[in-house]
Amino acid sequence: MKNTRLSKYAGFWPTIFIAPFCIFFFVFNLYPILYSVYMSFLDWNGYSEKKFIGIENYVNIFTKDTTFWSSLFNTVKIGLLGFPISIILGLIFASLLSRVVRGRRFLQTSNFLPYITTPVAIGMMFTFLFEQHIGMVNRLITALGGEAVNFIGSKFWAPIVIAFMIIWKDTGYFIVMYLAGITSIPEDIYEAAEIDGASKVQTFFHITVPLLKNVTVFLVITSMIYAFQLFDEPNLLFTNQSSSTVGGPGQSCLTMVWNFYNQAFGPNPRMGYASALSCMLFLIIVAVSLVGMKVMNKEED
Amino acid sequence: MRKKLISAILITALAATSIVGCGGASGSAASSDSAGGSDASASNAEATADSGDVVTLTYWGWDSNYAWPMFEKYEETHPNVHFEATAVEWGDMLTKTQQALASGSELPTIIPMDVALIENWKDMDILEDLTDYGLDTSEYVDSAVEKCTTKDGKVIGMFTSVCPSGIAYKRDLAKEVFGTDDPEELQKMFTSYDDYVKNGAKAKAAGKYMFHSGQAVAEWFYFASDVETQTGSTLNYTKKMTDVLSKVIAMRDAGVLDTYQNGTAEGNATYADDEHIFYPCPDWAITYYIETNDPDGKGNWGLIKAPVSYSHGGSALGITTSATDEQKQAAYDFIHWAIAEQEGAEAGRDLAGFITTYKKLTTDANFTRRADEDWFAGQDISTLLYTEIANEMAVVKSSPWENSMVSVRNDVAQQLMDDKNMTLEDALQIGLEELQQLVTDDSITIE
Amino acid sequence: MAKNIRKTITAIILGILTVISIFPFWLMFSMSTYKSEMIFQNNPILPSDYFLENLKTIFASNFVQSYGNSLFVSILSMVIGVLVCSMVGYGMYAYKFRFKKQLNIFIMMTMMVPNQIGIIGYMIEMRNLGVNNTLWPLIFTWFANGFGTYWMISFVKQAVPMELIESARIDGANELRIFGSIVVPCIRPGIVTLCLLLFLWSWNNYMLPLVFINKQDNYTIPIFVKSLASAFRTDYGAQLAGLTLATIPLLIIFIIGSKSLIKGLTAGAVKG
Repeated sequence: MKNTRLSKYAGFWPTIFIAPFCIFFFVFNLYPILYSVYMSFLDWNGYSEKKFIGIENYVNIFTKDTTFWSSLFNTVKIGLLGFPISIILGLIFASLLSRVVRGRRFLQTSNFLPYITTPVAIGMMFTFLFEQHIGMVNRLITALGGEAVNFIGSKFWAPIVIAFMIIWKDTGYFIVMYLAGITSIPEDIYEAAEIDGASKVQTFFHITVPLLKNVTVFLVITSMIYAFQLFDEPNLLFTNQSSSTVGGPGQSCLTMVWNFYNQAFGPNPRMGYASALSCMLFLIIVAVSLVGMKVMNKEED
Repeated sequence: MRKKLISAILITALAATSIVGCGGASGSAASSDSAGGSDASASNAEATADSGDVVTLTYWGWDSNYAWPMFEKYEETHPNVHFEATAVEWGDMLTKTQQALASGSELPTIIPMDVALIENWKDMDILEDLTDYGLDTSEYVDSAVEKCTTKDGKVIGMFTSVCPSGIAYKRDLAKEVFGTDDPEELQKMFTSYDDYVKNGAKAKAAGKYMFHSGQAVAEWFYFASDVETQTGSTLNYTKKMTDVLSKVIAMRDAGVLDTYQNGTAEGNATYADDEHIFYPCPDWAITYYIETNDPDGKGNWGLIKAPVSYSHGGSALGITTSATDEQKQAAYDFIHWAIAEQEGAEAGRDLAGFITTYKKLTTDANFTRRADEDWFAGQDISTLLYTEIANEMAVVKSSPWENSMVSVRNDVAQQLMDDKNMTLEDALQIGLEELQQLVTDDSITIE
Repeated sequence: MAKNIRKTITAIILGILTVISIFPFWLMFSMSTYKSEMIFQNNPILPSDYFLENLKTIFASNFVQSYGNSLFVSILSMVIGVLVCSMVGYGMYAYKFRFKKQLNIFIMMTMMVPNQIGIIGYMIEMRNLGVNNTLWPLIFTWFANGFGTYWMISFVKQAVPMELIESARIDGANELRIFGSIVVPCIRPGIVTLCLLLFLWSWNNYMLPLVFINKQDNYTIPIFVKSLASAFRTDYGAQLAGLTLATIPLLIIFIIGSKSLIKGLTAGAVKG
């Protein structure tokens, strides 16, 4: 009965509802990517004659281009420094916040503020905070008797500053996501745990964390995808006029997308090669997400 | 209640969109009407051309302190010319142009080309030969002409200023540290790079730094170096960088360099403090850096020659080939006015402190008299800059890979300051690895 | 007693977190009240008196137009993006058709595809469409948003009871009407949430305008703010004033929408 009714509507209506997405996705997302795949076989600087060179760009990535690999390393490093901490903090704060009654809206909104801040502003604020001489963090350090640290100019610290930007910006988002998850956990589970004499810490580890697994999987996967797209934060932190360097100090903050951007739109552009880089990036993101999903789902079993 | 509020907001937002949308559309339509088709196709613009309509010249550039006021000034006396200027950051100029070329977007009529990038502009081959419009190269400063001339003899632009550079200092600090603030006496004290290292002890003893940034002095040494960046298809990396970095290291080890990054807000703020004595100072930096960043410093500055007189910065104005003939002619008229006519050149001098490359004016002591010598306690910096230094400046040819070299130089200079134990060899090696990745053309060898 | 102590500790921890979250934000505002050159010669934690001057500077350049452009781009992206996502959400839920499973996997995959990857191809495509000097490239890219679609599908699944749709069908309601008058009200929190996110993302988008916009008339806020830097002087005061103003609409909609946001995320995220 149900099935026949459903099938009556098959054909025309599903098309109406699903076609816009498929068309838009194909035209504005998929086609450009396919075009980039095609261009990755070209030697082209954007305005010269296009020259077909087969897989040479890919061969170069694997044989000659150390920047690609170091940018992959930088991206993974910054991502690993930033996101896990951010997600864990998000979880902890969300569970603390969920018990607050008074002022919860205020806390929630104010902690979400960093997430809505324009990246341009974040870049500027973090320069002001971490600069060696006038940066507020360093003023604090020197006021406490320490020695100022060249956070932004040093190969060692710069990626940490970027990671800190990520933590600052995204923790609020993770809090909200987890908070949403926590609200949907039935209250009586907690009550039962309390009656059984479980401590708050125990409830956190034995009830909250496992029940939020779906949220965690979702957040881990989306943040992995996001990590590989990292561009705004490092680019905005290290681009100023007269001392601009590609990739920050010692190129320690040259992420994959920044490297791609620089190859594609830098002073000596290589559109074809950059397309090959973006295809590699695509493959990596897909592989990492698939592996991520597999691993996270296996744990469940 | 809340739901209502939200839907009310959404509706308002939608309404706003449609209004803005319409506004935007009608706005651009209006501008292209008055513009004779900045958006419209070339043929459109030509169709409306002969009726004595306004010619619109588009411009992209970062030098808003020069270009914008110059356009206004020119429009006053030339009502038939209208400028549409778009601010593009210095670092984005090439990028934006290349994107426009790749995506087939319209290029501006007039493009400013920074001296460090001029070889890239030549390679792009999108600029008119100004001699076709009657530019007589013999009337301009030779070094400027030379920089603008391509291999096949085209002159793709002309420099708006000569940019001689000296070393500026704060008088009160000089007096405190070196016992004198007199430019002549200081000049005697600092005749070679070694002198800066030797006298560093005095600065250090007084708790001052001589310079605020390793990057800034690296920039100075780079422009002052007589090693060509590129000879044929060879980048003279090691030779040039050894020349530059060994001096940076010598100064660093003498403890006279502070660790600011050059050109950042915090770096610029040091112009007003009482810790940093010297600043490498091209003539335009007097207005852009000293007077802006040290507003209370009138009379507290002095200027001496660097050990080797050099030129730093400057940009040339060129005309894109994709513009209409009418636009091109109007653009040339403007460029000629700005550089080679008394009225325009004076405007450039008074508005931005640019001294033109038009020989007759460059060598005219009355013309080159700067109005802001009171910042230098009445010191005759005009003669120093435009006669003494300008006559000694050497011209070093730049390379299409200049940008990469500059990026490497900035990075390595910063790392040298960060790691006080880094040696010249380490620095050269790090820079070399970076440069090899940046220089993607196989036909170029890096020495 | 112990409970009180725990409460106090929680309050302190949350307090510190909040301060850290708000501090850079406050700094943005307070620095925007300084003349650029003065920011570093003072301690900019306390506001100064130059805010109006900075406002004058930005209003003298084309701030209003950039603001309008940003609004135009964000609102249009949001409206169409959300519409497309909700439609697909409903379509995937209410019908059976061939290749549905494959389509589901395909949509999962789309979530992983960042727009940046195809940006070169996108640029060429926009040229061929003849819109590369307009605001449209900044808008089109949000029409088929992978995250939004994936998330809407799971939201609809949770929030709309199938019986409601079926009884409406029995009553002979047309499918578009069912969508408009039954489904949309059911998924309103989800719509609000996605609206907020899409608005936010397109408002703050940086790389796409960086690549596509080369005309002052088409600046969006982030690019406008960057353009306040000339080679020699960066007017931080004015930049920050512009950024402060740019944050206001986001602030307003998030304060109003924060309750719906949580509600919407509750249904969407848990499932996801």
